[in-house]
Amino acid sequence: MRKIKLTALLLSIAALSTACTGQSENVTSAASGVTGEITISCYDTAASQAFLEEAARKFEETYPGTNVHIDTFSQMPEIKSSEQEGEQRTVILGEDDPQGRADYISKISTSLMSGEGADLLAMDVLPIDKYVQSGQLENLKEYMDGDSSFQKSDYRGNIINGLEFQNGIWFLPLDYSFNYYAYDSTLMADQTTSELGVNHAFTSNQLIELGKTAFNGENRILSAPAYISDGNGDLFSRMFREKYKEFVDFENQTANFKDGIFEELLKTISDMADQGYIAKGLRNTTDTGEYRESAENPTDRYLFKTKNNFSLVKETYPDPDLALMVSTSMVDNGIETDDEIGGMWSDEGNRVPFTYEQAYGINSNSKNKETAWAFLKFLLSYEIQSSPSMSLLSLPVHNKARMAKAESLYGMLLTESGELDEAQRQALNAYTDAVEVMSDQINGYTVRDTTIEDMVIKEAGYFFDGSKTADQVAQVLQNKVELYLNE
Amino acid sequence: MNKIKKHSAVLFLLPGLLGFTVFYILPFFISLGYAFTDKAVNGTFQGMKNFVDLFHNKAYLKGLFNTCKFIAVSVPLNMGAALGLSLMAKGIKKRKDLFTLVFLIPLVIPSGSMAFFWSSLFADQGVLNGWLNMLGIGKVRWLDSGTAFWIMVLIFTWKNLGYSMVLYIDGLNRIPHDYYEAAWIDGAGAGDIFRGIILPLLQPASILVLIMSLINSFKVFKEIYMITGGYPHDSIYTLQHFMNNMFASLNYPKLTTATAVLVTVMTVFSQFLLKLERKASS
Repeated sequence: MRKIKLTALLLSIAALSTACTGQSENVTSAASGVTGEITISCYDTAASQAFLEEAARKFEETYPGTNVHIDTFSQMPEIKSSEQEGEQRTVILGEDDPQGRADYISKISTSLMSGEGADLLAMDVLPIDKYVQSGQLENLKEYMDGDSSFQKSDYRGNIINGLEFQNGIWFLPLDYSFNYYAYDSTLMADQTTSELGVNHAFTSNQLIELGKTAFNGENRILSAPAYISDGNGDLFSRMFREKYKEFVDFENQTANFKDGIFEELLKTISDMADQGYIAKGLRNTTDTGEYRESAENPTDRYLFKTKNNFSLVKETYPDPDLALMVSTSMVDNGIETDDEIGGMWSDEGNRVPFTYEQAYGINSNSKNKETAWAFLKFLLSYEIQSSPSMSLLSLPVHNKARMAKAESLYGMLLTESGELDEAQRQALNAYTDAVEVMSDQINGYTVRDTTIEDMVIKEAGYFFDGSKTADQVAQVLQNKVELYLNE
Repeated sequence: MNKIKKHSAVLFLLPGLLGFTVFYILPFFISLGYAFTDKAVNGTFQGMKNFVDLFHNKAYLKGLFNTCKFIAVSVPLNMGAALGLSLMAKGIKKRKDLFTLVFLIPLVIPSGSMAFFWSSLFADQGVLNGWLNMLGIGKVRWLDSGTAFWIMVLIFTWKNLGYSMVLYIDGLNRIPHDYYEAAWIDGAGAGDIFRGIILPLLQPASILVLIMSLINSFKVFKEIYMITGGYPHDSIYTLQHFMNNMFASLNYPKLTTATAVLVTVMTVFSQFLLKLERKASS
């Protein structure tokens, strides 16, 4: 079970989102073809519904004669409120639902098969590679190049260009996130910290090697445990993703789990756990639940920990109250009060990847592609990108909106009036500088396939619980993934 | 009189035939067009290439091999077991109906319930591994090793045994009792009667059981899919997995090509068997 814990902050964000109406830019409907009905389909109700409904309302106001339907699938997560030490806390519990995902994919695939389907498809769980290969998605590169009203320079070029796959750009993200490493400055020697900072990028292996110099057996090198059964925040999943391209080649439809690299990966992680560099694996949902609970009240210190870009707020404005408010971690990162930015997370091919919360592609079957493209552009516009209903955990792809959002985020987190004092403004500048410098290093997006990842994570679990050898796991995966790719 | 009978037969057949044509035959022929294009959306005609590629597709060949292997093992096993049970049922004097009914129960259990039952039995943390654990034996990955094939055979046999048995009982009941009496008077033993009377006279029933078992062998996929998903252990990846996965991944050209091949083979094969059955009956 995946538990998503957020703090009271999110409740206040939600309240702010509904209260804030935003300043509409009153765009005139210059494009006469932008009319009629379109439908957007997405799996993740919690992440998309409120945002899309608000955007749809504004779009319909801007383009009279249009009608946008939102079709979401997953159940809304359960929200629990409690009071701890006099503070109101909100916990959002969302359960991972592989069957629900499979049902959704099946539903979408069936509708596409019959020549129908939503005009815009959210790329949250759909098998992008399969849809691209079967020609179900429009090449948005052609749309961007052929539309003078779309200014690519308004957006982060490395994010959009990083999406190129099979000679096209098949979907556009509204936001992006990246992971970085932080280090505990009380545990690291000065000569080691000189190798760390916002301009650096490391793979997990490089970081562990670096950490070995400061490892004394008391504090673990990395906060991530060897294996978590839901594949979320563990070292195995991370290192698998770092080497993803070595194992899965979509272009040539080949799998490569049997040349020893995958077996070596499993054994290396297991050895790291044996030597105390990382915690052992979490094999079942009970273990995972306890682990997530311990993330709430950390007592240990780790040399390195992985964080999401949102945590940069804490790094730039070290305040214990703020630290509690922006606690979004699903993993136990230990005590974070002395953390400094260590560098970006990179994969084995020196690629610094990014992820996104929301991204959309246009269905090739759409009867109203012009309006679908207009709505997608609208979602990418400054007005929508700077809207408080966009996720606060990720960064808008629109450059000006990213700055505006940072300012409103700091105003909301650090002040009651929204006006920043000198120290707070310095912290904001440090934050935006760090975000931009770190974002500049991003140079790719790995098209991953949830079916393959589910296979790999499930099968790796048999190695970590001792019921299969690395060789057996590699053999099974070789057969299954190759079969999947060659179907 | 015969003319009236023929007309009424046509009238009775018409609703079913209409439904079958509208919901099965027509969609099949409409979708067949995909088998000659490179992709479903804006595809171009490419002749027989998909058919040639299909027989070079590793996944398809694996599914074909496993399906043939499964049929080769499970159909004779099912027929043999059903024949044995029907002979037992024939010999039973009391509670004969109850005996038959027990084997028919799996036919009325919904697939979802069946999948839940088998899954609970063979799961890693399932009942069987619980018993093995109590005996101090390590757990077996029933569904994730070579044993998965035999579980598929077991599920098929469990589900179809009763139906095949009923067909055989009907066939046995059609053999005149006089034949057995004449054989006994001539001093024939049980083995002689089985070989000389039962087997030859059961030929029409056997062919019918064979056809039904063949068709049902393709239907076992539903339960297997519910238990093990789209990418099960290598040994139980069948043609239906291939086709279902093609559907899920929107590869309609491959899906319709595989379907066309399967329908052609099945049509030819069942026509051949039906001819045999008619010949045996006459």
